[in-house]
Amino acid sequence: MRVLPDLPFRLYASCLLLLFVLGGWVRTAPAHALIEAPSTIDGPSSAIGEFGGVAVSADGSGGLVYIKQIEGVPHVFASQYVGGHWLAPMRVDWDSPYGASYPRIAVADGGQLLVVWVTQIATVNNRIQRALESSTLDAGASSFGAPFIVDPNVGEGLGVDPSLALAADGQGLVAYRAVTNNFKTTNVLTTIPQLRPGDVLADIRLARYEGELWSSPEQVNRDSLLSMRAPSEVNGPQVALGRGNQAVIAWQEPEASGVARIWARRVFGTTLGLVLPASPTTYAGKPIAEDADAFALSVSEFGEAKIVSRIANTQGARSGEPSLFVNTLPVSTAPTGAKLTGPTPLANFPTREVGVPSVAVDDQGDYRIASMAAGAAQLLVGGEHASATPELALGPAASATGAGAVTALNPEGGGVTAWPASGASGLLGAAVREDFPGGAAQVALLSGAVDGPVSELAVGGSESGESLVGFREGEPGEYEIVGARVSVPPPAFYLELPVGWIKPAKARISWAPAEDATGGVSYSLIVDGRIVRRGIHPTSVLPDRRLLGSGVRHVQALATDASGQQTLSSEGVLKVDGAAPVARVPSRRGRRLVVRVKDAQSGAAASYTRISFGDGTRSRGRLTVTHSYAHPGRYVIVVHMRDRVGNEATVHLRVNVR
Amino acid sequence: MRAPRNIAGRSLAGLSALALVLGLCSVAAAPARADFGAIELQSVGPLDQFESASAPAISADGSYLAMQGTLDGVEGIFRKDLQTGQLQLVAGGSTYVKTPTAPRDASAPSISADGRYVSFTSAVALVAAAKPGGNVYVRDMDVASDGAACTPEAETTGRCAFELASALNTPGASTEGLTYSGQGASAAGRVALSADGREVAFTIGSSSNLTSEPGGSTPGTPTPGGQVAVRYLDRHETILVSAERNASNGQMTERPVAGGAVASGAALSGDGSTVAWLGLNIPAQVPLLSDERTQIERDDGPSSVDESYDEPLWRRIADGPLAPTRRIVGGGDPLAPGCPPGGTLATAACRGPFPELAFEKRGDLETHLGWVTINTYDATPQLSADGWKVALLGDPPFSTSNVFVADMQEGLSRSQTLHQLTREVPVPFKFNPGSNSVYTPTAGEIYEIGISPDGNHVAFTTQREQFPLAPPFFAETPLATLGLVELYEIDLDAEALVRVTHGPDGGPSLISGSGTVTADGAASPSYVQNGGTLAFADSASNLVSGDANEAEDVFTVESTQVPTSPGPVLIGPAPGSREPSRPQWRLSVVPVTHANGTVTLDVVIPGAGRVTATAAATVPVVLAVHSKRTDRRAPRRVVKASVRASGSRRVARSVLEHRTVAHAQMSGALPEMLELPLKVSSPYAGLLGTAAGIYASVRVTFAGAGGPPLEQTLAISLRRVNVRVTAKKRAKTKKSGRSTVRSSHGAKAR
Repeated sequence: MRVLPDLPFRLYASCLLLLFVLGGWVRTAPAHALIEAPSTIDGPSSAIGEFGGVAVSADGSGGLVYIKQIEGVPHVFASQYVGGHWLAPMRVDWDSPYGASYPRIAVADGGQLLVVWVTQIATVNNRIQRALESSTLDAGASSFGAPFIVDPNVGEGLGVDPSLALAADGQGLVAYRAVTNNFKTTNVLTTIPQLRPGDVLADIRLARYEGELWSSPEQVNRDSLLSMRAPSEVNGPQVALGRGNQAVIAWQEPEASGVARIWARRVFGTTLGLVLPASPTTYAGKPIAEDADAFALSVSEFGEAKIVSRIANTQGARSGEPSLFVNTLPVSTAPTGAKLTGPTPLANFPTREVGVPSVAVDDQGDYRIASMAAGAAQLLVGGEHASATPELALGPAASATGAGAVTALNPEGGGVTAWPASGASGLLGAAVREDFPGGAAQVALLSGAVDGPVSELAVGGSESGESLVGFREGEPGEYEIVGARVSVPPPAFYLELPVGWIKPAKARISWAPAEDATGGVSYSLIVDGRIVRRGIHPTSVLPDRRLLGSGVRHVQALATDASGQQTLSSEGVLKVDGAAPVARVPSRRGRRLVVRVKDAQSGAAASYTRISFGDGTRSRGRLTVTHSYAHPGRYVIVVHMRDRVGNEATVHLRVNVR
Repeated sequence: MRAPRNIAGRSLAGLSALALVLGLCSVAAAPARADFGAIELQSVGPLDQFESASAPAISADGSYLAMQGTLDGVEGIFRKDLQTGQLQLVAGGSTYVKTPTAPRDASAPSISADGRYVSFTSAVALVAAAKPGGNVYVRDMDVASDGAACTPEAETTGRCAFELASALNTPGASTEGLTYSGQGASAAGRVALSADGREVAFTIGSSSNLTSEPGGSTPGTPTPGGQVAVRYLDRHETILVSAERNASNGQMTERPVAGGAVASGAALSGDGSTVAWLGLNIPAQVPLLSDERTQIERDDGPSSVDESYDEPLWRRIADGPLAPTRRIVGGGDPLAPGCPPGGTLATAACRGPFPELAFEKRGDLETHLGWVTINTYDATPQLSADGWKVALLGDPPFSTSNVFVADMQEGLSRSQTLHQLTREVPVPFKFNPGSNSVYTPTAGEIYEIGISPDGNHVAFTTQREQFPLAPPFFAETPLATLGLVELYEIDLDAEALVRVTHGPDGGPSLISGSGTVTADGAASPSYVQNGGTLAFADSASNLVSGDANEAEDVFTVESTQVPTSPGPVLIGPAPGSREPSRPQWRLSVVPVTHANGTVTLDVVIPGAGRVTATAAATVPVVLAVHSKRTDRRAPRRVVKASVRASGSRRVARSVLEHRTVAHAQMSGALPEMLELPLKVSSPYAGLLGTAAGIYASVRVTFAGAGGPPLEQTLAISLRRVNVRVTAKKRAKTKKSGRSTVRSSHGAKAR
């Protein structure tokens, strides 16, 4: 059952939803595995712990990180994804005897992995002090390097929730939370009031990775004299990087009234920008008294940031009102680049059971926002260049798995969304939907060796659109770590065609390379809607003149990568003049006749035209010549002619003059 | 038999046309799949382990195992009683005292269902009737033998343990061996013998007297090589399987097809009803679509056998001599329901599973055309016991070798009944991929297959570790590191795929002490009736403890039912191809003139239809005028001046007239380029030799069902060019028998 690639987006989505609901998952063998079959990286095992995320670079390399107990001690493990293959997991904190937590991963081009985690470093006043450490796996290396200390003191190591971002050139940032007082430790006195029960005193810190070493962390939150909400998985700080190390950091912090808001500020190299409020303080003219309890951040290559905030619906106080608000920080070079545009509610998103949002934005200003809501994965696609799509219910979620919907964006169009789901017969796994630039989509329900609930799920996206999906699956005590690749077709590319009329021998057609992470791209040449040549590996071709003929040809190139994914170039016009001018005797009266030279394509060149009328008379440099014969008889007119691209011919016209 | 090749590579470019859809639209609870217990080493004698052992064939009842090997200085084929462990020499002899009557070269054993009969191939004459060359024998294990050739006394007293299978068709008479001009006959391992052990399928590589004897189908004419035959031992009958099909009436004949089979053996179903083989000279054996036939005949034409187009073929010999040979796969499917007579590949109902099969261009590393283009794997199709289900390996366009299973029951098209069971994860092509750590785990070759007699289990061997096609669901964790060739099994009922061979702790199979991973490993999977036990050979040394010979051994493993659900992977259809579905409705014409004054119009047509070309020019014609116009008739125009022998005298006068000087037409079935020859008709051909030639206006029209008529007009200057043949050239031409001309190619193309 191969269906629907050209149906309108919504209709297609509806069909997918119907398939989902009715259990009509199409168990087919796709011609090309765009969403590829997953691999179980580790497990199922009682030793598997926290899943720390997945990352992918523009060249398709990437990795995932997780915690696994060795002899009862949790350690950090990472699996590298290189050349379309998950490599065997390797221990990251190989020289540490202590337990690790909060692993996070980022990747630079070439497959360099950067991993951070929290581990024990010292005992101070009979209390264990923990540090944030990092290690890198250089491209081609077989093991992680020695760990570096990012921050030697993150307190007891609770609620650190680091967020790691790495640029293609290996420069990076990590944002994290350091709880300095939890109001429970009696020997640490403070006069700062605890705004809410469970609040802690914490710093939001940022450290820069310079390709080898880390800068000293600096505090980025507004007011260290205000208590923070109790740390949770969804309210930790987030940082994201664009090109040129344009970064934005966002975090949750209460304002003076005690209501937690989401704040953001730019990071210009080593300089911090102004603190900007990202979540709404009012809705419909009324102040919002509920906390912004979760958020998502994404930064485009050119530095535009999207921040989606979720307003808590505590005890149903905001029933029926939108929970998700999106705010935009324009590119820094824009006149309005210093300020957020203001929070806008996602009005059509369901308002109940709203999960943690996920957002992705590209340098075209297009964005995707995904979240669980009303028991299903919801997706909003919009932007300046993409046709805005209403919120779209992708499919039902598996109940109470703890993971939310996550999304990544393909700058060429479309993107990847994943959410925990259950199949028709109760099979559990991660549902993945890939929307393609052309508007089609592919869906899959992925699972590891043993299907089970997906409790932690992440999608790593890249500038090239390549994505990796990673998740932890299984019942507690029998977790497995699963990874899968979602590849994209070759990027859009353009033809370079000769301008104006040309001879077939000069009709060289060129195009920009359309290499993708899959590689092995070959091209087909399409002339007037027909493939005339396949398997072209150079980026230019001189087609057979017989296939071009003569006239205006509509030309396209089709790029096909090694996995069979295809991208069609835009159409170009090739004007081929493969025929010399034509000589005719259109009119004749008595002994007087007219010889005319014409060329239907590039036009005849008068200066090259020579006509011999057979009676000793000649003409030169004229395309239309009138001639009168002095005597009747049969003559052979010899015409030598040439068109503007150089096609020439000599023809003999027989005339009978009476 | 095709020689194996070292280069195992496949071009993976251009995947867009291939889309296999296994349309099961609901997720049923996965049935329990077979898992496997401990692997047992079988190539071990009462005192010692075999020096090496290979090519196992297990009896369908699971009681006996035949294998080739060397044990305690004896080399040949052995049979092992799997209950008692007793070993018997089937055929062979001492490696130390080499006697000409000991068939130490015996190879490729197959075994009957109860283990009594074992077939094999040997060049040693084991019975008096055998002629020189390779022969196929059947050993009756109930008759005592030392494994060497029968003595004359044993033959005369009926105590000869060997029967010659590669013998002439002599019903009711004594056995007489086939005479060969070359290599002789051979039988495929594991699958050549029927369950009752009384029928044997074999192939003959060289020309023979199989059908040329008096009473044969071609008396007096040697039977060409590349034949498939089946021997009925009890009746002393041998029938030709690779028979020619009469193309005019579609009936099978008893004439042998020249080079009709790859001579690596053929598979016989357990019930003896059906034979399958890798066929050559396909147009002579099965019906083909016209365009497909043209292409295949073009490929087969000047090439040697090794470069010919091949396809697996299937014939139900139990239905008698008229039973047709059928295709298992194929680009076209003229027998598909709904395929009209005269249908082509352009007709959707006539397309087979791989429409591009005959049109795929051979890559640099491929040596053949068709279903099997590379020689790294055993491409003999395997049959279920009833013959209706076929498991086969092939590398159709745009893929490496993969496993397929086909149901040959009639009434369904090939596309409907062929199911692909494995697919590689496409990775960029790498030269010498066998040493590539990326290519091999994801797209490595599959080397051998076996199907259980009940048709529900398919085993295969490969180093590949990723199996993205689902179903069957890959229910194993892919290996983290590359090992040897592993054995996998697909449970067709449970739609599950599992790895059978495991090293310690589930790791890869390895050779101890070897620092490098090679393409050695598992081979020759062989099943008992219900697939419950699987025998195989393997060069790994870490499958069982105590495997000390560091050589290939034979193992068995039993399946156990484990109620685990496979890891479900449900992946929806990928977007359709971006290739244009139909060309623009337009016509393109390029004239190519020739030195003899003719012209070929290269016409690119947008679809099926008819092209007509008409050339018109102003040419001199001769006007015949009667000198006495008594009848006042109008002057009559003739092309040539003439004077009648009698009657009124006429005066010839030449005038110029606009005339049609050439006309041609041609049909096309697809959007394609047609080469339409246009020749000036004879009355005007003389003008081609004049200095002026003919300056013609050519009107090319195209009429097809897909759009409005199309027309294009172009001007052509036609002139015959003087040909000068030098004395040297003339001598060369005479010597080579070819006509070569030197021309200045003065005809102007426009």
